[in-house]
Amino acid sequence: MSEQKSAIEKFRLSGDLADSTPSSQFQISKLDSILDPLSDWFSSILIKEARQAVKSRQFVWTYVLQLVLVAVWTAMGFAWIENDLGIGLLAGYFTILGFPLAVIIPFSGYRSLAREFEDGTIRLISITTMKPSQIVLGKLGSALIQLVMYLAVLAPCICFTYLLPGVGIGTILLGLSISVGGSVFLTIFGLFLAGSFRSRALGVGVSVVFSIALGFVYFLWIAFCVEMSDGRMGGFGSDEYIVATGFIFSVGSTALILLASVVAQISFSSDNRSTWIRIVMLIQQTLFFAWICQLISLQPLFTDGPTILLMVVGHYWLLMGFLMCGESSDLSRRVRRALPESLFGRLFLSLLMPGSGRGFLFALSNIWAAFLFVFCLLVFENGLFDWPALSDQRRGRFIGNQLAWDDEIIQMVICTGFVTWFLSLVFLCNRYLWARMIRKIEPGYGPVVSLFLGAAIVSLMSITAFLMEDFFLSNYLLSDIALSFNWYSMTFEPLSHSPIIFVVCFVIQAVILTAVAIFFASKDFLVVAVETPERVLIERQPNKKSTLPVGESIDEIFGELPLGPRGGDNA
Amino acid sequence: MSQAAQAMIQLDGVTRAFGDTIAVDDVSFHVDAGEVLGFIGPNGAGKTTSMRILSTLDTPTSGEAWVDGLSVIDDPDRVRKRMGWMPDGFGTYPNINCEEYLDFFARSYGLRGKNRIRAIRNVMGFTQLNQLSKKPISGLSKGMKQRLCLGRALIHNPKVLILDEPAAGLDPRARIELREMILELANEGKSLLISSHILSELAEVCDRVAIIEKGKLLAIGSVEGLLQKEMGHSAGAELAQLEVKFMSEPSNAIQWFNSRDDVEVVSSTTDSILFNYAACHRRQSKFLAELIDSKIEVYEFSEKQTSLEDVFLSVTRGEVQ
Repeated sequence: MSEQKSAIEKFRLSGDLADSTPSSQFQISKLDSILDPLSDWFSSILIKEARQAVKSRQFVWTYVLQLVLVAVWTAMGFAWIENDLGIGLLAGYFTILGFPLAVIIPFSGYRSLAREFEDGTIRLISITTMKPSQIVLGKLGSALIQLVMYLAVLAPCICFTYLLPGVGIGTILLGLSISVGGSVFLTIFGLFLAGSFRSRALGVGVSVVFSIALGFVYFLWIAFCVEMSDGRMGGFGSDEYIVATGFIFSVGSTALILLASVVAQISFSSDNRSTWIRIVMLIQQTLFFAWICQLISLQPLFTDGPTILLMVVGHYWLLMGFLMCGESSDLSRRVRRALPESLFGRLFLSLLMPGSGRGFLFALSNIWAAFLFVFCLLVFENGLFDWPALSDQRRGRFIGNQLAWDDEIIQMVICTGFVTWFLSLVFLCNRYLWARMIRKIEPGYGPVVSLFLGAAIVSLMSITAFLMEDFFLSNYLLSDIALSFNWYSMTFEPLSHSPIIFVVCFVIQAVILTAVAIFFASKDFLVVAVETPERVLIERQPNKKSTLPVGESIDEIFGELPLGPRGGDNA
Repeated sequence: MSQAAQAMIQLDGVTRAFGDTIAVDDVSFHVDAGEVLGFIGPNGAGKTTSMRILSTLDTPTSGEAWVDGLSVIDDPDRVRKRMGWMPDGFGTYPNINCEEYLDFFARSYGLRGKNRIRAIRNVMGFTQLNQLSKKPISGLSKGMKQRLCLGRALIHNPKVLILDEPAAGLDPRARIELREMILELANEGKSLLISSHILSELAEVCDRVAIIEKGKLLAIGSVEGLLQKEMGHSAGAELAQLEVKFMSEPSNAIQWFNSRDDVEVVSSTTDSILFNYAACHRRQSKFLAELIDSKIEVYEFSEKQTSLEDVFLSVTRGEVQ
């Protein structure tokens, strides 16, 4: 017992022993103490990941290899490249930079999060005061730090090429923006994969596939650099502007969806994991609408714009709708207690809440909103109304486009109708056929099961249409249907050749099926908030004299306790 | 003020169902400030699920759970500030040393500047990891890793500690040190909920124990209280359970025991007899003298101590879900 006492005394004293610093490290310690408060501004994940990364062999080897390659390429470039030295050197530098940016950083990001799941450390981080979004952004931030460090090696060389003939600032910025933007996107995708495939067994397979995919991306990057070195990069006109904005919108919004998905995946199952993803879906759809409007205004001859818009949006909501139909409808009490009390608030928020029925209605609302938007666009395009604000030239163009009008409306109705029908089918199947099965598996796999179910139903319909070819003499082949994005039209084509009674029956069953699906989905629609206990409400009252003030800081709590740990004071 | 308002940990009719399986079934108990509650039960009994609910990792299907007066359902963020959780796994990182590990969690709990540095120093002192502060975690022994994990749970100086199997896999010395640390923490006013399969360890550190099986709380109380309630054992009891071991086959001994009215034989083996007799030591001494006089070769005569393990075996049925 006396030994134990002395051991405890030793523990107490040991807190003070940590103060002693060897004189040789004094300067570094002093610098540390000056810089340390600055680190409080950064995410803890960012700091930890940066510490881990710079200590890892992988980083050291890649960094050294990059330095060596840059030196070798510079020497080789000056010795061998005769014409267009600047662009040749620049292409080589970008090729060297591409390897860490396209392969190392995204894979490190993927492994970083995957390891958290494998080792169970994600639970430990999750119960700290950090929010899931902070965890994901911290991981992304550490990837960015590595990116900057790799870029720092190449930056002087890239700047140097600007001084050589043939290299413009536009070329450098294009290369940098694609490489950096691509690296960030791939890292986000890696984080998404890590969140989606958590088991160790799946992780091994995903690691292999992902690394091969990253290798392929690097191969594409090399091809881009070769194009650059050959001077085949074109100018930047309105066409390129449209393509570039479309690319940025689609990649940026997809990155946002992936980020929101990762955040949802690392949130607790009792938290609301769907609302942010749905908000980002709305943002993505809005951006797409904006891009199409820009396309139509800049490209007067692009008459297929509205139809393409609806086709893409149709595919999008079909995919997202299948996933959302597989969600569990059970809201945790934590989510239900956080719901708004008013009917109006619940009407709007219900669509954004998790759940199969709410997801189905959300997808349905969006596809029909898109239909209405495109319909209005067509009305505007075809000059059905004599808008005084239109110039004669513009009005003439729209009126001249009259031919496309009927076809486009039919295409839109078929597309929207088929998406609605398929979504209704998958929702009802999820609700009744798969409900028990989905409940028995991990809740997170419900959407995946639903997606496969939806894909099977669409494929079945396509094959049925192909089989109907013999009866209705359609000219389409199965491969045509399977490979075409215009599958709904092709699926409808054999139907349209059939007797009118068949078409009417088909439409009637589709309407009935959709009505039934909407009826059942509406049961989930109005989420009823669970009453919050009185004790919690009292605790939350702002003027209540409580020992637990709202918005308290961790330091206040830290100071509240009578005794600190054994090693030192708690003043 | 109600009991619930005073308790640092409070479970009110907590139920957690996973489909048809009810992992925790209407469990209610409380832990006061400075109290250590042992949470015992067979594997799959619902201990970890209850601890996950208290740690805000999960929510109950019904019922309420409170930590320091805050609902784990409604105020998870504030609960996390007050609660330290040590799961059964270590959860460590590669390429990082002990100090950096604690620094990471201190930052994650929002500790800034001097508070963070002080918290790390305090915890390293408490867990005796000062000398190992720069050592990579991968190089630590299991006992040291366990200390580090306890340090991580303590880094924000929580009022409530939830320890899931903290002594699992530790050598005897590490267990003793862990026990010392737990007692010290309780003395500092922290409330501890500890699950463990090492019942002898729990009996020494816990003020009370709760026994759970198939999600249901079967018994709760002090170790002494449970012994009395479940085993009929107490310091002032009239009867004691005694064991006699013999050099040879006890057939004649059994006859001798059966011939006495004041003895109740509980069980017998090839070389021993377990029986109930008066708890009075003077009578026991006389009984032993009579036994030896009857030419029965006795080499051991002892009173069987009833332990928490006996209570556990008596209360539970070894059923899992």
